[in-house]
Amino acid sequence: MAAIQELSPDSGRGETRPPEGEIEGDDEDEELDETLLERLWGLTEMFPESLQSAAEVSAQCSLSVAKKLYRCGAGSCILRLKPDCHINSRNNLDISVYIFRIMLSCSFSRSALWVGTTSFMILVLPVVFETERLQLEQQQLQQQRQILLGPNAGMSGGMPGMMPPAPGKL
Amino acid sequence: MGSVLAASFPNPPPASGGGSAPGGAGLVTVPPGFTMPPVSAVPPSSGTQGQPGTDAESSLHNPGTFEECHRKCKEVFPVQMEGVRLVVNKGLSNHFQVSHTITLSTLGDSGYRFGATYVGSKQTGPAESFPVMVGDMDNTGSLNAQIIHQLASRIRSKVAMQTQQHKFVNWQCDAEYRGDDFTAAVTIGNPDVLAGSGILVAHYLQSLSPALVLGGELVYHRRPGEEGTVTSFVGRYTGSNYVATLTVGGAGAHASYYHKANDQLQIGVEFEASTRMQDTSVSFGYQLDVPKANLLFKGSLDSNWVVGATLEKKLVPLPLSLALGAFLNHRKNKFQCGFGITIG
Repeated sequence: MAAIQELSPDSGRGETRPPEGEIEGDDEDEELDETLLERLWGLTEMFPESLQSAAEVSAQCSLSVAKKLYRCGAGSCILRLKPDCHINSRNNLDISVYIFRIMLSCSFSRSALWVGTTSFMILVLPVVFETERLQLEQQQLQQQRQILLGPNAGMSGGMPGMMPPAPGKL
Repeated sequence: MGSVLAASFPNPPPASGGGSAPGGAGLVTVPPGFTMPPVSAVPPSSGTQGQPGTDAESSLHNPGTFEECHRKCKEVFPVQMEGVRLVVNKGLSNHFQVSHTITLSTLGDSGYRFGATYVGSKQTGPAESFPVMVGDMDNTGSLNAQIIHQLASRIRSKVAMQTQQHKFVNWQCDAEYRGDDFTAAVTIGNPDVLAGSGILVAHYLQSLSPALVLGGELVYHRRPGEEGTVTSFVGRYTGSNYVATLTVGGAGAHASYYHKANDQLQIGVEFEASTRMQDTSVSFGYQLDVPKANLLFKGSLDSNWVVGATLEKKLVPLPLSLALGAFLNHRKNKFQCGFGITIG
């Protein structure tokens, strides 16, 4: 009985139906459990693979730069990368090189900021204070002269007020 | 009192001279065990002018002394200050001036120093009179003394000595001849006839054109069992508002450039290479002079990551002058500051 015989292997095959059908069936059950974020994340899968990995790498790197811009621990930068991120193995070396550069650059930027601020404080600040003070004093003197001698004598060395115009022909 | 002030020590020579203090004038390399006392030279007169004539050589001026070649640039740089210093200057007469200095220091010793300056009555120029005698004594008994005298119309001589407590550390004598367009000087330092040791320094400066001056220096030092010679050459070019000087010798090279940007700002750049220490350094310094604010500000920046500044302000109604200084070494992360008040 071929038909009857056929049934038994068919039932086996029936268990291994094409996976899409099975997953679709599962999906229909799980769709309701997906959160909004998971749905948005699913949207990114429409972009090409290279763009996805590039975006992933740049996001991780900018996040680590922002975190490490103040703190700087040797070796901790690499360890703090999210362990569950899927990084392409060919990008691993690039990332570690980039992170080493960030480590060097953030301690460099800190010490550069310190050196710049203290040098500015020593070399430039006293002169700025003194010249500002001189300007204020001169302004004050000018104002005093104005008050004392009339509004037309605001200029340095101004004449003490203008004489009233001579009476014209009556 | 111009001549009296001009002849006094610019900074009191360090009390701890010792055997390893670096020498004074120019690029004199002295082997350890020899020291040249850090005495200041008398500022030059306007120079013996040649007779006016059609001869090109007679328009050349006296080139000044050897020590002054780098001085214009060096004066732009601030001096490192440490601790508190109070200086009281009192002029007792036209010829005599006295100064009291109290130094309080965190790193070194605090002390009191008494200084006296006497200027004679033989007047050779508007700002100079001779003889000039300058002396300085410490609270520990260390003495620095200098006598400068004009022996003839063109010959000037100086005798200087320095002691540390009761022991003589430096004694030197020098003679200088100022010609129409050249200067020759000979200095004998620490001569010791019994031990057969001493230092002999000869300087010669010739002005080749109104702007160009060339010269040389020869140092001969001798100790029982050892003698040596160091030579160096110096060239100085003076422009309309700048002076460039170069010294090249056995001890290394020293180049300096001084530029006067305007009435208020003067800039100096210095490059030093030393064969003994095997290192080079570049320094940039500036001086800002604001007479309206009674302010004199000097700042410097070094290739050894040293940043420093000095601010001097005259507190006008009183004859007081306040000086503040700060030096920061970024590489070693060390900071030093100090202030001083000068009365009179």
